[in-house]
Amino acid sequence: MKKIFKNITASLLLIMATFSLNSCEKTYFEGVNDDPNSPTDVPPSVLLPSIQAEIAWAQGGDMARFTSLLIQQVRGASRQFTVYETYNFTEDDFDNLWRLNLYAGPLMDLYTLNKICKDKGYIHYGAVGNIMMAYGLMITTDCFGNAPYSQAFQGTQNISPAYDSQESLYADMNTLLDEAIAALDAPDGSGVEVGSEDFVYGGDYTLWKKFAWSLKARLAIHKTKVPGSNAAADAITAINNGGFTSNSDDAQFNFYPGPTTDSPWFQYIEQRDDIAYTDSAGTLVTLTDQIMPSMNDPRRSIYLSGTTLGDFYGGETAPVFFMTYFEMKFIEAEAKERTGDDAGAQTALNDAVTAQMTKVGVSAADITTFLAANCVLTGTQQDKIDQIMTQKYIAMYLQPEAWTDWRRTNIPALTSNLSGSQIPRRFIYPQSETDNNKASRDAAVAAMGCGSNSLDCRVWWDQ
Amino acid sequence: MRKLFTLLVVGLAFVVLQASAQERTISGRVTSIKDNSTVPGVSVVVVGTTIGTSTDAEGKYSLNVPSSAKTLIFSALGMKNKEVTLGASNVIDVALEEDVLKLDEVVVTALGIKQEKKAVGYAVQDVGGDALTKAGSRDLINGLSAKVSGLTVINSTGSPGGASYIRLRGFNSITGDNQPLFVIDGVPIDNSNLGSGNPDNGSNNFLESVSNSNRALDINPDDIESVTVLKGAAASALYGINAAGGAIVITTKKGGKAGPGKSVNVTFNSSIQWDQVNKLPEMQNKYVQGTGGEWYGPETGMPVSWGPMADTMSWDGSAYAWDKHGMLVSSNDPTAKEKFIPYDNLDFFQTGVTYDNSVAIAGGDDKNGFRVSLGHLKQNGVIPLSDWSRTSLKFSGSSKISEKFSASGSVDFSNSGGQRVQQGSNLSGLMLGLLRTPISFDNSNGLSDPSNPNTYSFPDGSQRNFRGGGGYDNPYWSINKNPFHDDVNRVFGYASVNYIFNEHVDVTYRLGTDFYSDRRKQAFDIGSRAFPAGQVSEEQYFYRHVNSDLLFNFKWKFSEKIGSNFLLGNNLYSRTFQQVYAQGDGLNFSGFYNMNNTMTVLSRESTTRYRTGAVFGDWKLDFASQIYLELTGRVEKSSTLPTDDNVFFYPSASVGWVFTETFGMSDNKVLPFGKLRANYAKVGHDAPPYSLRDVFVGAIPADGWTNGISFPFNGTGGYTVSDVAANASLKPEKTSSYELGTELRWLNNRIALDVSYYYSKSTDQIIPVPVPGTTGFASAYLNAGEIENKGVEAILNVTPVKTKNFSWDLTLNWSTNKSKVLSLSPGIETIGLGGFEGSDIRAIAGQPYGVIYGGGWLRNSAGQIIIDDDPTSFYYGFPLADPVLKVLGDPNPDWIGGISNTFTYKSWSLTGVIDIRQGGDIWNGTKGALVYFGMSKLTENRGTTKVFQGVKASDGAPNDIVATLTEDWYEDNGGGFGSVAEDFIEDGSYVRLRQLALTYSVNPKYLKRSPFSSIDISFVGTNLWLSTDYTGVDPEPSLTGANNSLGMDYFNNPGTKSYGVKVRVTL
Repeated sequence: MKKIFKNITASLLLIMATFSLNSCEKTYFEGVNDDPNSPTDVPPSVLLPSIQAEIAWAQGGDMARFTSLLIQQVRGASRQFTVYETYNFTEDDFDNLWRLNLYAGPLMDLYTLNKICKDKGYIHYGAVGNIMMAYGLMITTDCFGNAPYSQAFQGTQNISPAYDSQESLYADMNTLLDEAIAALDAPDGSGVEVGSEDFVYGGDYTLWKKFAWSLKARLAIHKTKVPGSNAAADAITAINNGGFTSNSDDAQFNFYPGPTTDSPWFQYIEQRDDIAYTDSAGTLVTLTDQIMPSMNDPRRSIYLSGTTLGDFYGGETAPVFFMTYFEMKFIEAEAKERTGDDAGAQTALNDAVTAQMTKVGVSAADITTFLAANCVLTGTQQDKIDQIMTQKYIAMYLQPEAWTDWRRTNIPALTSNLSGSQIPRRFIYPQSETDNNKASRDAAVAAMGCGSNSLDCRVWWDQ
Repeated sequence: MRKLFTLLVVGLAFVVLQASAQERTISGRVTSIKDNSTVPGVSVVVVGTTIGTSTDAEGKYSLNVPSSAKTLIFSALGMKNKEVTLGASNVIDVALEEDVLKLDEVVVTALGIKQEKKAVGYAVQDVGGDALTKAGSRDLINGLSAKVSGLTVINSTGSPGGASYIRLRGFNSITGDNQPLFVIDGVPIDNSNLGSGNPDNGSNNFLESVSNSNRALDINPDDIESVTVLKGAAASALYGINAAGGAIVITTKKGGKAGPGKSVNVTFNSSIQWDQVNKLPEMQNKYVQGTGGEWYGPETGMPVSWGPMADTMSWDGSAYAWDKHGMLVSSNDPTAKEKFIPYDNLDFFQTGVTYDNSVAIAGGDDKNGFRVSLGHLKQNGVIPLSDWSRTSLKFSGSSKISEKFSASGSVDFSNSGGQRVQQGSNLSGLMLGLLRTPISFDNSNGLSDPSNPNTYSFPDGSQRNFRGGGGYDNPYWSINKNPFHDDVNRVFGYASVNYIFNEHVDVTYRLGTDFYSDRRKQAFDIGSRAFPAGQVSEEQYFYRHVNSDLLFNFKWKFSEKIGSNFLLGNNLYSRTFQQVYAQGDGLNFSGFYNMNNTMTVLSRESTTRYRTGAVFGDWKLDFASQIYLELTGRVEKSSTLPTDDNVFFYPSASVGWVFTETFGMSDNKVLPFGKLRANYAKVGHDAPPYSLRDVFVGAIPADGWTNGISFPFNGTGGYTVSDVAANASLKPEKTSSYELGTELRWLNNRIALDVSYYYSKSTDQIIPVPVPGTTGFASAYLNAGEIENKGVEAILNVTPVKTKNFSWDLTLNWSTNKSKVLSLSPGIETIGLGGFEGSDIRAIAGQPYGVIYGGGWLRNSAGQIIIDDDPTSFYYGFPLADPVLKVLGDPNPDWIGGISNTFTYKSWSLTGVIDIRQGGDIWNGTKGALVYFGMSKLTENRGTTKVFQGVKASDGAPNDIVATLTEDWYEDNGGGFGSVAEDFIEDGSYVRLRQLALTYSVNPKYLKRSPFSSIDISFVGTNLWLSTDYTGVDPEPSLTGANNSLGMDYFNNPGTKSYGVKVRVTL
């Protein structure tokens, strides 16, 4: 019996030491599952730069490549791009753009940034965030049509966000811009201001306001086909209220030489190179092989270098243009022409072409020659609009906005690459929405009046 | 739960008794019943202690036993154990019976516990060390191929050091790791397959880059004594989380008493094997580089081979940088000089050679044993300049320090690494560049030395390839200018002590660790197509885990017939994993591959920690050696689950019934042994670390076509909200499984059959469920999804012939597994597991796991293909593509099996293992791409006409439109870059001669006067014969390595066959 009791103590001690994890337990597990690699809170100054870079990559990547193919500023040379040339797009092709490059990328970051700014009272920072949000939404909806916004960005709280109509998105974007412009003038006691992390303007609020007004002009001019809108008049108002005043006001994202900082077109040519810019195996590219030669356009040797892109548009440092002074001037020219102000339209057109040509590096003498030969407005109002939009088509090289302009005005006249099919009028909703948000996606397709999620369906301002 | 265990244990602790001090000497002789001969090497042990000895060369033994000793147990390999109760006499002679039925065969189960096989209530199979290495297998996983039913082994590439993927019983976790746990001597070891490349690219790194190793390759197969495969959940319920996919339990060779008259046993193994590529895709050799029937030379950068027919072309002898013979012209052209002969670029591959040598010294006495082994393997691959080598040094020892106390330990040092080759979807990928090369361009430039710079470059340093320096790397450039080296230094081992209180209670404590550093360096020289400015990257992985087991074992008998064993244990496991990645972009000048020579450097670091703690119990009951019952339970806590809800409980129950004992049939001539078994078990998986809180990560804007940019950008840092939404209330995944089985032996064990049927269902899968991008995330961690697996496994062992000089043993194993994803999450139909746009591998509700998903032809409701009959359309006469993607194939085979034959005649033996896979689709992406490029043999029919089978779009009438198979068609939907992948899904069934070994064992009587105990010489071969309908490379490898997405072939490196000689000498 004694032996047994002696052993019990020993055994008990051993067992207690082993199995009572309670006290050691807490220390054993403490902090093990705290992620040391990724922070859970960040200041807005590290979100803004990534937002700008992400939007630049979205716009300068798939978006620019697809849209310039559609309006025949380029052609498909090999592999997947020869397939896209005949508009053989599937839902899969738009997945990266919609999901990773827009919604789950910069748009979510913008939503988060704006929330942080609102919560912490960063009034000026929030204003810049709102302007970028308006821009991000604009490029999204102009390509795809109806798109989620009011129900989006809620994570697992709402895993099937409904799509907002394009019309309501336009209203939202205008509100965002108006509020931002007002906020930039208001006092901000938080002490947190936009600084050098801002790749676009380095924290210069004056320039941000100009950008906001110019964006409002762009939003306005999109509505030229929407019945009951004052597209032209609204555009002129916005420009007069405070649009860009010179090339140095341009909102653009710059790139730098180096494999992790090169521009999207440079990387595309270097790594894929499936696009042709001129005379590919005997088939002409409308812009560079037909229109430009017909005008003796001196920009052709700047746009192109041999058979590939020249340095300005295809070099390592080729910027992505969010919105430029010259674009705004083209909007002004078109708007003034539509409201019957011929003289104003002529001045604006000359300014626009001059600004763009100066920007890409054409000499003053060549500019003068070109203006005299090609930019004198003649004929009916429609003829003049034709001339303005043709010049804009040349100037907006590789800009997705050019496709929007073509859809709006049908200038220049383009023939579809695939007989029996029309040139697409929108990007189709991607595979991931079909897989994971089908009900909302189908509702959006129906709301737009499309029979199916097709490339041919027209968005709200394109009826 | 815990209180209950404590009470139970305390109760049982009362049973501890003390030993007393007096002794006596027992001696005797052991003979064999069969022929009355004496038996040496028989172990004689006092039951309940470590007191024992062995019989000498004359079968005699002598042992001092304490007065409290009650029983002696006599055991020897191949003989039935015998227990003898000690009486008054001090002389005990014993006659042992031959164990024909191998009933006392012992298997090693979970935690290193040895059990008699007949007492095991679940499916278990073991493979002896010899069987693993007999045919010269270079690594453990390869050696297991086709030997274990229900075990799938897939080698991901024929490249030296390439990863092998291993899986038991199907997929139980949708996104987690489905591979079994590897355990050596009771201690888990790491078997990761770590990808290379910028960690920002995530799992896309597996689609390109090199084929990295899985860490089980560090084990020297010559050190392995036996491998027990625990197939189902019941077998591994004691390991908890990490063994949800089963367990591979490895026992290594230990020392022990050397043979009679010797102090140590020395074993030498040496082999040399030659490897050759076993299969390459079918290529055309009739049309040269060009498009539209016109020749375009390399300087134009022409990517495709749609040029004129080779036999209409000649060289013109002009001075031409791209070809010594000149430019190509039509043979009718006045400048034509020499008839063009197509180049065979596939002679790029060489015969590889592998040297494998090892030596082991083992020795000891009754109480102590040690073993030291040193092994070295060096493999030169079939791709020039690729190699891999492994050096391993192992020490193990064990000692019975006193009657009650024994200790053992082992430590294994291993160094491995090599120079590897780019593969997959990568501009510098070897096969990508090689297979797309037109027949009119000679990658080797007529030279035979693969490291000669004139094959791949011009004197000015620019690249010489079929696309004028652009496009893809010349394979010679790739092997010379894109070097990849890895160097792994690893140590794993354990120390364990065991203390026996008395015949009822003993305790073991075991501490094991595994740590390694894996350093990789990848360089791309200036001009490499993947990184034209050049790039150097250095990657350092550091892995360490520590595993602690404390086990109390209680044995007692309730009565004469009813025995019981209770194991109570505590396990602590802690793991740390660190990665540092540095990438230098833009070399300042070529040829110097060092980070210091780069212009911009980005770096990434990450640390992951993980810990679990568990308490478990295992209770076995044995009713008269007829009915065996086992109950286990494990309570576990994991660091990756929410702190207020991170405990989970896994039970299992098994029962085995040896019905032949119950019905008194053990003397039956026909069926002396029959057993039924059934079990139920629950295991699970926890969450990946750090999935509970939303985080921000560094921004890396990119798209599917370009590498993109990264932060810091121009000196500014940028973060983005992580694409994966966290979930603060994750629960563990659970798998419940049921298994029924039987084991039958007929005709004196000439025929033995083991069949199991299993069903398992996994729920609450933790999956990054894809959510619509419009939620702001690409995926969210949710407990969702159910997946079920069911299958049958059978092993049949037959000895058709057994005479004095000749025997023939045959083992057949066969298994089938059907998995089905029952559901994912509400609103979620599919989860991508890996792959490319247009054809990827997915988990889809209602489908088997891991199906191939992509574009197919448009069909009507009767399944007929719809043909475009609009004369103005580009596709007139051609089938139309279905814009809705669908399931195209299933990479899971219908069944797999193996046939192992061993013929023994006197000193000769011949073993062959045949490996059969029936079913299992593969997406032949390589062929799809080669069709686009005009290089696939399929495109020899270019220009011919075809009436596609189907119905017309407008009226449904049978198609009669004659279409011409043009370049335009093959560059569109007729080839792999269009939107239709359907035609490139092929059946990957195969029959192959996996292993062949012809061995001659020198007759021991010739060696009596020599220092040698045995000499065996073998001629070995692996993969010598392959029969398959698959038109690409060997259908077994998978592009993504040891990963859940199988069934993809996109410029995979080819598989190999090998043959050689192996010599084994023991002293």
